[in-house]
Amino acid sequence: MPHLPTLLLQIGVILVVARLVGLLFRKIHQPQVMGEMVAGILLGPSLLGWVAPGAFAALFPSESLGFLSSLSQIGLLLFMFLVGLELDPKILKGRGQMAVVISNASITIPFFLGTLLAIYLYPRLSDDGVAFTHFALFVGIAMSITAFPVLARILAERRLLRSRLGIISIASAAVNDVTGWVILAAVVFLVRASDSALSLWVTLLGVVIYIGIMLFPVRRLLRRLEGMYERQGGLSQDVLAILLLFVLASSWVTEWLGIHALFGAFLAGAVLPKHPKFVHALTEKLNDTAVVLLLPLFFAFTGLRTSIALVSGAEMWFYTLLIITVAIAGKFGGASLAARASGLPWREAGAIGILMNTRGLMELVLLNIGLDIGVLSPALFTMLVLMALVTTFMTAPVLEWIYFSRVKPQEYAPLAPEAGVDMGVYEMIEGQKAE
Amino acid sequence: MNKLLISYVLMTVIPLLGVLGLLQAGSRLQAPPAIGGEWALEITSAPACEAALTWQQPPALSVSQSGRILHLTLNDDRHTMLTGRLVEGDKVLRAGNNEQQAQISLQVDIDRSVLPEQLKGVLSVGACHDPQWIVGTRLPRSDTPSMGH
Repeated sequence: MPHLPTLLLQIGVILVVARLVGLLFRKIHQPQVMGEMVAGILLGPSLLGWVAPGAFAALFPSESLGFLSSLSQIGLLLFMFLVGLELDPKILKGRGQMAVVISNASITIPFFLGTLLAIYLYPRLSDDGVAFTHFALFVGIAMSITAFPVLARILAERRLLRSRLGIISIASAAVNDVTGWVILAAVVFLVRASDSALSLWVTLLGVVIYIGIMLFPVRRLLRRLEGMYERQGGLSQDVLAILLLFVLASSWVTEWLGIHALFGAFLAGAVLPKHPKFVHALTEKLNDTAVVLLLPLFFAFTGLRTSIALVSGAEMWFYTLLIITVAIAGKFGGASLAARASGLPWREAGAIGILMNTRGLMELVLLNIGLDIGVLSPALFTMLVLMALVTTFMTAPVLEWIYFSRVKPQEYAPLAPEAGVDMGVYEMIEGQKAE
Repeated sequence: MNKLLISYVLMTVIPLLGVLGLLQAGSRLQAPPAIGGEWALEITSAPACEAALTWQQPPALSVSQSGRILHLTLNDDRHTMLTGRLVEGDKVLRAGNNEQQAQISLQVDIDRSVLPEQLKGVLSVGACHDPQWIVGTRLPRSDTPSMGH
């Protein structure tokens, strides 16, 4: 049984620090999530454990970590469900080709550079308990991920969702997100398959059948829920309970299949009907609990696992700088080049590049999976967390510098005025408070 | 369309083929031996010295590994932390702390030919003449989430 007073105290402290640091970061024009990520680090061994080891040990005794971890995982499941829910295939209509080129290039170029980096890092930061292929695939995917939710909110905050920049960025990030999570699921599947009782082919068949069931019969059934929502004129508690059960069941299946529960939650959101009002109602019900209460627990939990002391000495800092440089060159460079090659002017191409370079929370999700399955060492985990922080932090100022300070709002290029852009669920994001 | 297709080939297909080539090339790489995790210790000889470490029971060593670089935490009453490296063909672990007042160093041989893996060596405390002799056995990995250190 968890020691309830300790758990309540932990949640209280985490919420206070997350809100305060989030507020501070908003004051310097950074997204709230950036502040919450930093708050997690501050509460971990890197700061609190260093300046007040007694208080740190009392607040986060190691036997309490399991409970904190479980709560934060529930939060992540809900969050990944919401991320999947926000993915609307309508956005690809009429601009699919350009989005596919930009998003695929912004995955494969950083993935290639990440694999190249893995050749250098594997003998230096890994051990023979980890196969090179698993290590390289993980470093590759860590370089390729984009924080779709942060990107969507930055664009919404700037009222850019209907501009060419906004539409192409959202569409590219959406394709990137789906591709990235599919690759991650495959990597986790490969790593786990090596010590799973089920054979690789049985598991693979199970995954294919599961995705098929989700995309066709389940999707059709879910449309009935949307119909119930429309008949009732709102989201009843019964419908919400059914949807939550659906998320849990989908997460359970993917965890059982060996591709991680988060993938199931994401897919559950992705296959739900995308009627904007339905999506908005569902998001409103879940968002506050997931984002305000549970996600800071995940950031704190990540912070507890991040020890900057592990990155000590010139050698380790050199590796960290190398990782950050490769991450930025691959993602910012790759996406910018692809956007330019697709016919966009340099300024817009650069803006797309920097938006795609935002890794944020999605990177932390991925890194925690890597640490859990033993592919990442604690020091490499910390280095990659620092990379996630730097790439997320740099987005707002660099975007300001290369785009907003030089292009006036009335000069934002619309996509095609005659196209009658259907922004689907993203219209709702624009109305929400940008975090 | 042609321009997009060429861009796609140049920026997606070629890097993807490059990834496959790199995965193939990297499969021959060797990484240092895995010794990270928890080790149960046995103190086979302890010096009669006031400055010697006072172990909690049972004595244990936690190793956080990043390649050859190691961060160790002893479960003595001060949770002493040491930083170290794998040396001499990755068969010897050498570690120490940076404190001038209470300098502690550890040197152990790692034997991975037996299961579970074993370590054997000495732990020296600056103020004591004689070292502590220790023998360790690697414990199976637990599923409990770990902290950064």
